[in-house]
Amino acid sequence: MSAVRYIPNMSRLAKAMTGPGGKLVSEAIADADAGLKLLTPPGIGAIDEALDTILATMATPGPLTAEMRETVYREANKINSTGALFGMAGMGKAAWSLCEVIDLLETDLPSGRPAVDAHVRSLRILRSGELLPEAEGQALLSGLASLLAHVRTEAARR
Amino acid sequence: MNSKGRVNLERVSILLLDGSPLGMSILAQIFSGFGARSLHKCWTVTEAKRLLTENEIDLVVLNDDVDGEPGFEVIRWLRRLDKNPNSFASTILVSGHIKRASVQRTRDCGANFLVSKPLSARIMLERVLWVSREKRPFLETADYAGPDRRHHEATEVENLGRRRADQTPGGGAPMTASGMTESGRTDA
Repeated sequence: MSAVRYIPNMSRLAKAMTGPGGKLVSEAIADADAGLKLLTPPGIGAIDEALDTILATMATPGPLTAEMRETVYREANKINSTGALFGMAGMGKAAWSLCEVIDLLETDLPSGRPAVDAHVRSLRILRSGELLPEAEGQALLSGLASLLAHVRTEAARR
Repeated sequence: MNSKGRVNLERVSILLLDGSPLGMSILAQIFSGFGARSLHKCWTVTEAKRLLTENEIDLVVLNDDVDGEPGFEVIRWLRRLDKNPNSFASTILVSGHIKRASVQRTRDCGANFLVSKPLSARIMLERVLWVSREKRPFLETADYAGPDRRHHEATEVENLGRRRADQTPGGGAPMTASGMTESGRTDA
């Protein structure tokens, strides 16, 4: 059995946060949100750039290579990480689902390429989809959830 | 979180580590909005390690992926820093999607809290306040150094069950709703 040493918590954070001054919690959140809003134009630009890279990568026909998977995963994770911050929550969810699918594809699955293709097409539709009624956007995300469930089942059988 | 409560980060020394300009801007806007004045922005793991050995830092907020380098390695390194007060610094690891193969490594890096992206100002502030209040001792073993992971954020359950232990005051630990991860994420 390995030795365990307990040490009292010596974090300085609580002490540094005491004292007069500061802001109301509501003000702090509002100020942070206002700052985040300033980032919307570059944020949307970064999301578009990530989507373009995904589309270019997936333009190559045939089986998904490890390099393709890695690129799509990395770029999808960027969209997942920021979509909701910049008013693209649907894209964020679709991108998260795509990350899950790619992670499951570490084992080669028959549904691999079609599942990734479906996610990529959905991302494109959601991005160009200011005209897409909300209900249809939700239906699209529900479809991706079903697809992800299918890939999970398939991966669990392997 | 009480919106009429106060938060004071004016004297808190905060290290932010993120390799991407957008990611860093997001963290900086959030913490500037909270009123933080001492933000140390690091773009590389090397830069963060140097800063942590040379400055007193109260809070470390870092991305799990710093230009291909795992950010959580900084926390692992920090927790093993001998005789450096920063080794006990409060840490919040910010993460996007985590691959299955990395979940355990991320969980076991010694962070105080893992916050999943997409970030929101409210969630981040809740976590900062939570981390500032926590009293978990640190523990050090051959393969782990950091806050005691046997942690539960106690939340009383309103409707007690029928089991005798549930009905007996002091008849067992309260049921808990715990989790080291905070996310608004739901499956697509």
